[in-house]
This record gives sequence, C-alpha cells and structure tokens, in this order.
Amino acid sequence: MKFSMKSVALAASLALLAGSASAALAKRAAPQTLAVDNGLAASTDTVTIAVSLKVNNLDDLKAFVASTVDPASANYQKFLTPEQFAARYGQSSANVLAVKAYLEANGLTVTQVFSNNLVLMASGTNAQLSALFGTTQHSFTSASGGNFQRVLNQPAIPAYLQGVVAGIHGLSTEPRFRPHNRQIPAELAVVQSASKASLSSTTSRSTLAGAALPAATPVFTNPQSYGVKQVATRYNVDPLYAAGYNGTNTTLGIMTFAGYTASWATTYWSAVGVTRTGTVTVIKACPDGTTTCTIASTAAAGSGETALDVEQSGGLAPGANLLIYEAPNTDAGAIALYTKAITDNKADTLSISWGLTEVAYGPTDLAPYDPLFLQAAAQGVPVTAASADGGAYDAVGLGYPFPNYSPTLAVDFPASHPYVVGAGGTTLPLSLNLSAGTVTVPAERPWGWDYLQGYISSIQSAAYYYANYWPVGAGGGVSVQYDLPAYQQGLAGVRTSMPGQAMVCLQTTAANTSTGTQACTVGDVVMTPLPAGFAGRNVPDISMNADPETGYAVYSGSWSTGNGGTSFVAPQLNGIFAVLTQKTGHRLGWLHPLLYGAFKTYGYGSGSPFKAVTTGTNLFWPATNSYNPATGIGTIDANNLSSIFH
Amino acid sequence: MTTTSTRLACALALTAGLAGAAHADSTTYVFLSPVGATTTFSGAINDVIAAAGSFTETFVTFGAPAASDMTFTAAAGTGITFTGITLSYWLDTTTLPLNSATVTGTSINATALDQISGTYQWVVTGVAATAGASITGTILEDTNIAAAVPEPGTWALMLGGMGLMALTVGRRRRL
Repeated sequence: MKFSMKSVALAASLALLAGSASAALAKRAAPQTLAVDNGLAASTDTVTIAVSLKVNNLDDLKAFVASTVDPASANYQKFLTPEQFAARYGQSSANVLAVKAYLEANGLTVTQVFSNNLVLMASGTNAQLSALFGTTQHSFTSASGGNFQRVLNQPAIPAYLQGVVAGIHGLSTEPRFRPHNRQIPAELAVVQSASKASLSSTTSRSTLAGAALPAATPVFTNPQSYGVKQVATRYNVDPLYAAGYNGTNTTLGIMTFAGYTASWATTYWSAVGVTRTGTVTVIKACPDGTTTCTIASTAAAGSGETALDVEQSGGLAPGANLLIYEAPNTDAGAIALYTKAITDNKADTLSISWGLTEVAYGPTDLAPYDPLFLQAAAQGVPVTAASADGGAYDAVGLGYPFPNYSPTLAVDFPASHPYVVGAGGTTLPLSLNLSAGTVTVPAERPWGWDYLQGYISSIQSAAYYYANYWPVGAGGGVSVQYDLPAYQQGLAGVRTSMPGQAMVCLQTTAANTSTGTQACTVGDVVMTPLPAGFAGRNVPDISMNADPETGYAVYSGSWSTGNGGTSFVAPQLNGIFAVLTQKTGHRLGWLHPLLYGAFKTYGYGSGSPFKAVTTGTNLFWPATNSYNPATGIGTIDANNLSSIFH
Repeated sequence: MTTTSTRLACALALTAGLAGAAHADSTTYVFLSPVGATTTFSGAINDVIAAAGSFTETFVTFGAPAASDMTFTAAAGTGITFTGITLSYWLDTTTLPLNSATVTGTSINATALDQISGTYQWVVTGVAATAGASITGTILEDTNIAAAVPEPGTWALMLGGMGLMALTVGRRRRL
C-alpha cells in the first residue's frame, strides 16, 4: 500500500479538512430556472418532503472513513454495515421515533424512515407543511409547460425538533437535475457525412441538442460509434478480463431519474458482443415509500441516459449484477435516491450521471448529502458522478446563454462533493474531414468544442458558434461550495476560484421554451459575484473519452451514434471499479486518498495508473502535466490502477 | 503601463472639484456581440448624463471567453469633461491594472490585456456642464489587442517629441 497517509491521527486530522460544506455561498441567491408563478399552491395539494437528521459526531465519522483506507489503522478495510453506521452515526431510535411522532402529531404522514437513522420522508398538505415549517408554497409553470411547486422561503425547523433535525428538504418539486449526455448536432453530422457546405442558420438549439443521428447497427470500431470493448481496450481493462476478472460476484448500482426499457440494454450488449452473466434489477426509490411512484421514461425525461448508464457499466463489467435505482426528478426524489441506494448497501460501487450546477443549490440544500456520501465511504462504496458537459461554465447551461448573460465559471454537484469521484471527459485524437475543411485534434485533450470554433465560425459566424456550440465540453473547475479536501492539498496544479464570476443580463432576452432559455431584462442579476480566490475542491478527479466526436453508440429503442458526455465516463468507471472490486476481493472504499496517493507515488511514470493530458482546455482551465481542473489527474490505465488496491 | 497625462488629469480633477455637488451616477450594461467569423466582441456605448456636475458612470460588461484583451474608447459629448477611467470586476472596488489609458478631457482610450472571462465594470469619472450630454464609444475585446505600450526606443522618440511640443507651445506662448 503506497499512498501517503501514515497514521490514523494524520488521517483523521486531514479528514477533518475534507468534506465540509463551505459557507462561501451563504446569503447568495441561487439562480433558479424561469417559471411562471401561478400564486399560492392549493392548500390541499400533497407534497412529500425529506427530513434530514443531525449526524452523531460528524468529525468522528470523517476520521473513521479516513482510517478505513489507511493501512496503518486498525480500521483498515473494516467497512461498516448500515446497521453499524446507524448505531454509531445516526440518531438514536428513540430520537427518530420522537421526530416521527411529532410530524404525525402535526398531521403529516411519515412514509419512510431510512435505516441509517438520518433521513425520514413525510407527506403532508401544503396547509400542514406551511403551518409546521412557516413556508409559503407557490405553484409554477415551467418554460416547457410543466407544473411544479416551489417554496418561497427557507423552512423553519420547529423548536422541538431543532436538537435532532438538520433540515427540511424537498418542498420544491421542480425536475431540475440534468442528464450529462450530448450528441453531435445533426447539422454537423450532415456536414461531416455529405457535401453540405454550410450549416443551417435556422436550426434551433433544441434541434441541435436533441438530434438523433440516423444509424443502422453501428460499426463499433469507428469513432462516434465506439462500444464498450473499445473502451476496455483503450483504458487497458483487457488484461483484467484476460486474468478472469469481469465483475463476477460484485454488484454495481446506477442511480438515475428516468426509467428505460430493459430490452434496450440487452440489444446493446448483444450487438457489441458482450455476454453478460450478472443479473439486472430495477429498484424504485420512491419518496413516498411505495414502489409505485411514477418515473418518467420518455426520451425528453432522460430515458436515454439510463440506457447508456446501464449499457456502459454492464458492458464493462459483464459479470457484475446491476441494480438500477430510479427516483422521480425532484429534490425529495434525489434524497430518497441516494439514501436508498446507499443504505440498501447492496451495491459495491455506485454512479450517477445526473447533476446540477452547484451554484443553483441554496445554502441548506446540500447539507443532507454530506452524511450520505460519508456513509457510502464508511461502507466501502465508491460513488462516482459525471462532471457535466458545459466545460468550465456549468451554470451557463442552466438556461442563461452567453453572450446575453455574462459567463460564469462553475462546477456541477454531486461531482464537486469531496467524497464523490468526479468523472471528467477528454477528446481522443481525431481528424474530421468536413465539407468545408478539416478539423484536427492531434493529441488527447480535455473535451471542449473550442476546436470547432474556427470551422463553425468560418462557414457560419462566431455568433452562431456561441449560440449553438458553446459551452460544450468536460465539466471541471473549482468548487465554491466545498473546501479544498486534504487529498488535494499541496498538489501541483490545484487552483483557487477565479475572480469576477457573476451573472448579469446584458441583453433583454425572451424565454425560449424549446431551448430552456431564461427570460431577462438588461441589468437583471442572476448571481452576485462568487467568492474569488476560494480554496475549493477541484473537479474532476479522473477522465476518460467523452466527446461525441470521438464518442459512442447507444441503443435506446433505435441506434444512435455520435453520443458523448461525461455521462459515459461515470458508468464506465463504475463498471471498471466493479471489475477492480472482484480482483481486490473486497470493496474499494473511499477512493480519493488511494487515487491521489497513487498519483503522488507514481506520477505519470512507468506503471502509473494515470496518463497525463497536457494540451487543450475545457474552455477555460488548461490541461497540464500535473493535476488540472480540466481533466483532473488524467486518464486511467485500469490494469495498473488495480495494483493500488490490496 | 498607464500613460495618462498626469498634469491634465490633475487639472481636470481640480475642475471636477469646482463643479458643484450634483451627481448623476448611473450604471449602463453593455452587450458585446461576436463580430463576423472572428474572435472579436464589440459593443457600443451611448450613455446620457442625467444631470450637470461630476459623475461616475459604470459600464458593466463581460470578459469574453477566449478574448482576453479589452479596450474601452469613449468620446465626450458637449460639455462633458472626462477625468479618469478604471477597470475592476463587477461590484469589486479593487481596480485592475490597465496596460494603457489615455484620458483627455474629451476622450478615453484604455486597454487591459490578459483578462479572464467574467463580469467586469469600467468606471468613468468626469464632469458635465449640463444635463443631457452623451458619452459615446465602444468596448472591444479580442484575443490579441496591441496595447499602446511604447517600446523603449519609442519612449525616447515620444519624450523627444514631447520636448519639441513643449518648446512649440512655449514658443507660441511667447508669441
């Protein structure tokens, strides 16, 4: 074991520095998507909320997690069961029952008490919730026509509960989590495949984003159509397969906000030539505690995301059992999703390819996730998340297009959480022979479509490029929600947050329901300046190919090619981690100290699990021959990576 | 490198101090458009001074991605006298160094190189003799804008030229 932590005491002291939500965003308004306020929501409408309870000795929990990956510790690789976790770090059963009784005495129905003794779900009418928490609940209609409710003020925790309850969450029912996948715009695909000399000036962004490329059964060895076998070869998983490791006797979990059709994945695996022996099970994580809640399964709701997550992870770990945790795309749904997937403790490794720019979270929104990700780590379960697809400008994709709005550097949650592995993206070397010229990427670089800027601008205009192709790239940067964790401290290339990061409306903009563009009047302030020079968690941690131009085939009812996004990287890593779990013979545990420790030991030298990405940017942060916020440590060599686990 | 004429600035500042207490400070948001197929962003300034007296006008705009150099040029309408210009991040009181800034009573030409994308504010100070006069101009950004930073040899020529100008002015005064 070669990572650098020498003692439990050191590990504990370092761990205390990691994972604490920063106060950097306190009192700053979080940008919210445009929606028409229909006024007070009906008092009789029922909303399911999440009640998070205070962790019993958070500092001790962090120290314990660190000690589980410290070979000098008596706790080394002694991961907790959910019951042990609840007993040590959850609230007492008596306290949980008291909270439950209090909620019920005030008219709420407690629908679930998770066994970690840290989260309860409860339903009540708006009248009951308002009376209990002093909230005002309004009904909204989104730009796309959907109806949801949003709470206008922070819920107040009743005095009786304040010693035990950490927060009230989920009063807003807006579906705000986004799948982090992208596709080559159809118009560009036409230029690539035919003789069309110019892009359509009338093609809307929605068409670009939602275009499905015509494709028969793809040729999986071709860029834009790569299959999982090509991924395994590129990132050196093949030696592990050859040694008999394919994830057998492990379980990987996919967390998602959209349903899908099971036959899509089996069609994919059959076509790419993967014979799976593991099982596939769908588990609903319904906030109301039932198994009958509605999980949207349309393409618009993100069924393709679920499909690709399952296809990629299951394809790379054909022996692993798959658990697909599905929840409604709401705040309460998210807490139910993570809590169930982690507290079930069935999955040895978890991933999610959905997220939201971390600056869209209010000051108390993120609090319930700290104990959940720590719980996963304490149980030995790595959680991996896509770092998003807006390059360094994660907030711009929320519906605030540049240049109408000033651009803002931001990163995505949960990838920005210090206990979640942030999965970034690269572009493989490519040469696109387009009708009006050639676009070449000579070496692997951070995924960022700035390499298309010259071509798009020359045949259309710079304005067209910015309106339709920017920002597209691998998410990465500096968190302003989470302090710099110990494992990144002192690491060359780690950066602090940039100054001048705010968002103001500079040109009056009409709402566009098809693009999700937020309406504004000149001078409207979306975000006051984010903290400058903030020593925050740097994202991502590691990267793999995510560019649609060098991307993948997906089957989601029909074949499509030219797919990409860091959405692919998270489940790919999930599958690889399942293979590594089988080889290691036990759960991998909290990965960050292991990854960064290995990087400090090996660098990019012989036998290193990492390969440097040294050219290009993710639209802002440059790749360097060290850690960098464009690609993290770099790409991986899975076979070498397996050697750091013992 | 700031090449503001110190003597002129002092004179203008004195003028500003004498101009009375009226203030008509305002904030203008300047939208920059991508220009053609280039990496240039450009936006026009047209700001009306609402009241006579000294003013502090703030022009909020962005630093464009991949367009790290900025210029701010402005011309004074009738009765307006410029006294200074600064650049800072929006709502930040710490000014950023300018690579060049020439402020005459009737014009401003300032350049800031190697800036990052973000939200900025150019702050222009001056005095308006009457209400209703305008400040017009342009904010320009690109990947590589040559700053008006003279080379050492140019400095010698400039100093020589300024000496000649001084002599000329002196001679004229003597006339």
